[in-house]
Amino acid sequence: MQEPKWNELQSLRDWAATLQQLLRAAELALRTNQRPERDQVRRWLQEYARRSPFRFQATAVGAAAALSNSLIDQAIKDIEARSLDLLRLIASLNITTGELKRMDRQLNPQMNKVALGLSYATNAIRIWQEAQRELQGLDSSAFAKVKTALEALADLQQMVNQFKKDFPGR
Amino acid sequence: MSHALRVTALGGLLWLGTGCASLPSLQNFANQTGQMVSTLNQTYKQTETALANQQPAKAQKLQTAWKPTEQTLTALAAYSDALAALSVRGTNGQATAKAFADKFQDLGKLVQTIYPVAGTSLTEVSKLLEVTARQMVAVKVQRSLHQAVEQAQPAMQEIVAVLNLNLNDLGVIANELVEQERDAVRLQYAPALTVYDSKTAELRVITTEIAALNRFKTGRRPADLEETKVPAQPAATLNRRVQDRENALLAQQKAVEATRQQFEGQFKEYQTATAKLTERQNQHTQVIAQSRKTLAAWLEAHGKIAEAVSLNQQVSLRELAFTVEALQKLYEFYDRKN
Repeated sequence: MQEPKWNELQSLRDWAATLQQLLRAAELALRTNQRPERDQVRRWLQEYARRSPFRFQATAVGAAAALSNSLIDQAIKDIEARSLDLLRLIASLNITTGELKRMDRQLNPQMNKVALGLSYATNAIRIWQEAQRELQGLDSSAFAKVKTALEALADLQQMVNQFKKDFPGR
Repeated sequence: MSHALRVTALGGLLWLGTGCASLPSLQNFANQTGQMVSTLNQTYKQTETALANQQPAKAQKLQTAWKPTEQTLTALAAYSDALAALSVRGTNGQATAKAFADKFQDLGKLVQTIYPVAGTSLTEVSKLLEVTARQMVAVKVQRSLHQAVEQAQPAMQEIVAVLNLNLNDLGVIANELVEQERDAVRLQYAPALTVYDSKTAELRVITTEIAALNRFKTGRRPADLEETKVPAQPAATLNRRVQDRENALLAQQKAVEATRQQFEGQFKEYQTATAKLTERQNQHTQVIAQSRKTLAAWLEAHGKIAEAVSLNQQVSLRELAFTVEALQKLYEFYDRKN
């Protein structure tokens, strides 16, 4: 249907005939389910309601509302139709997010191990230094301290080995 | 030993101080994403509320249909937060590694003052420290971030494309609701508007004829007379006929104007109501357009993260921040007006 020539509509008969045409076009647009057609006919019906004699206005507005509602329904259906796509994408995104979180969680204990290793080292050296000083006097308590220091160094070595296992190839 | 130790420790410290610039902070990206998600949810909520006011059953359907979109937006925010958390952890980890390196340096000095037996273990510690700083903290985080962003980018492109389509449909719904309200307002005021419009048209015809009569009285041009309802006649009676016609028109003009005045109030009410609807419609259109721009800026910023992470550069979020702010300002502007 072509857009009505609004300025040429004079008599009630002209207006009535045009309304008939528009209603037929609206029905067709609803049946064929074409969004642009519905949109266009809805706009013509609104224009008709704005210009026509009062008695025809309610009918035109009613038809425009039907088209408008079908446009809303269609929009909701189209949004719904994309749900599966979105759910698939969310699943893929959630996997990536999960990997990031896992990595984040792994970092803390690893850093703690390093801290522990260094604390062992510091401790071992302090004891060793103390023992070194006392060894000059050669008493039994000095030997005990040397023993403790060696144990601390052995712990440290164990930490290092563990890290080598955690980071193979280094 | 002490030479090897010094070299290793020095190497580690040098790397920490120069080659390893800090990882880009993605906290700002996460903040911007959060704000974007919140405004996009607001866009949806506005339409859902308008639909619920007019057609509750349809609003229920929309709510169900929109659920996956809402979940997608939540997933985007969670993903951005996870990126930010890891980048922060990486940066903190580097700081921790630097602190360890400093501590180790102290340890090295201590060793030099005592006995070389501890040397072997301390060299191992030195290597360990380097591994920690270079591989575990920086490279591992860097690799994870880079890999995650690169892996997610194609999905992000698809997500943004679907979100844009959904936003368009949301725009259609919002627009149709306004159109329906416009029709309802039009019908409500139709009786008054019919009279008002017809009287306005009558006045236009009267004013045009009066103007033609006045032009004829001044210029005596027959063409001007043809625009009036005064028939051509002998000059003797013409002036009187013209004057009579003008008087009749002026009286008619007064009467029509008086009738029109009676409907002026309703006409103004109608104008105010439709102006508000037009403004609301404009807001929806602008919000949808700005939301699309924001999503495009977000996608672009996300695409830049992978490169920024691999080069240890900060990500430029100027465009994203600008579009998010513009979207928020649109809401503030219309909130103030309403």
